[in-house]
Amino acid sequence: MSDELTAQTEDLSLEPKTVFDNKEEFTAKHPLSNRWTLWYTKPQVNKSENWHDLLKPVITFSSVEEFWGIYNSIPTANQLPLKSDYHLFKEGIRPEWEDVQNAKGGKWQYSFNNKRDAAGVINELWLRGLLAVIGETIEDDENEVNGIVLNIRKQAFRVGIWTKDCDDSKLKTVGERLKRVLQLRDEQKVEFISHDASNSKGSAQIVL
Amino acid sequence: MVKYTEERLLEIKEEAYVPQPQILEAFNAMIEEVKEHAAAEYEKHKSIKWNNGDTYIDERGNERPYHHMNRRRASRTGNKPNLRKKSVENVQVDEDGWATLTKPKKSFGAEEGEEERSKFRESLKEGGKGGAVRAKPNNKNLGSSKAVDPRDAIADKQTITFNAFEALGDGDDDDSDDE
Repeated sequence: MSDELTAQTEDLSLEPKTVFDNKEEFTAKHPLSNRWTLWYTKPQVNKSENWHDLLKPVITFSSVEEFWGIYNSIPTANQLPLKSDYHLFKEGIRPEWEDVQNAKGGKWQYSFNNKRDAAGVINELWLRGLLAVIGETIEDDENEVNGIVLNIRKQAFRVGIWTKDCDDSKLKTVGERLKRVLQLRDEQKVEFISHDASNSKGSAQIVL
Repeated sequence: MVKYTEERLLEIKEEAYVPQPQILEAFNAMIEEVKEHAAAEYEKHKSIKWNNGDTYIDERGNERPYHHMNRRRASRTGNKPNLRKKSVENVQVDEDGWATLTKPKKSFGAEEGEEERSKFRESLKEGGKGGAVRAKPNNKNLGSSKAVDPRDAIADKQTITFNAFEALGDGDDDDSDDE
């Protein structure tokens, strides 16, 4: 009898075991709909570096737990050096116009031109952007969003959502959500520019 | 498609898991390197901007540039120096020991030119009523802090330009009015 009890209670432990106790056995409790890759554009340190050398994939993840682990381990938006970019794109899509999945699309964007004012809130706003993208709440079921970008520049912080197409009817939802995520007022306009128009220095096609 | 609201995602924050810590360490090290490079570039740029190579050794033995000693006064400081000469007051003590302050006259003699001066003033007043003498104000130096040159106050002269076509035409132009 006592032997039987011992065998039954052997597996019980006062310390709770989590999915993270064994890395090999890690299975995410909160999987994301897509796998996402974090990219970083490194500012040019010497002139021999070209764009391809500067744009680096950092890490790919597919769960909420991994997202938080990564987010907590990397510099926040306001800690990045000037001319840096963070890009979070669906796995397999390079954050470049030339990528087949970006070529026909464009970007919704907003520039925080008053850096002094924005410095205190940019970390929170960038995080809200990331959460809206990985949580897929930046759109309904359009499946238009390829990724989100943060540019750190001397004059401004800029946040952009890259889309697959330039279809007005699908884009408006994304633009309106971006405006809400970035907590912009009515008079603070987000602009959509197709990559084609960006190449030819065209002006914004949609303004919200 | 699985969707997570912002609130739901924030609730899961405590369950963070770092998938490949070595990659993230390398990433952080790279960013530190970039920051150090940017700081070094900034210092280099700053020293080029402010240092003309002329330096001195201060009391602590540090080499310092002179630039802080010979910068021009910034217009935004608001403390403009008063460059007006203060009038010197003369003190005259009479026989009884009373001291009187007298200001020296700036032009002419104290007494001798008094009549001429008052005549001149009167003539100006009369002339002013009749609208006689009016000097054209000099507006050429409005943007300048230079003193106005009184010679510029002369009314514009009418200039006669040479016209080759007129010169080649009939020579009776001067007489035409008389006819």
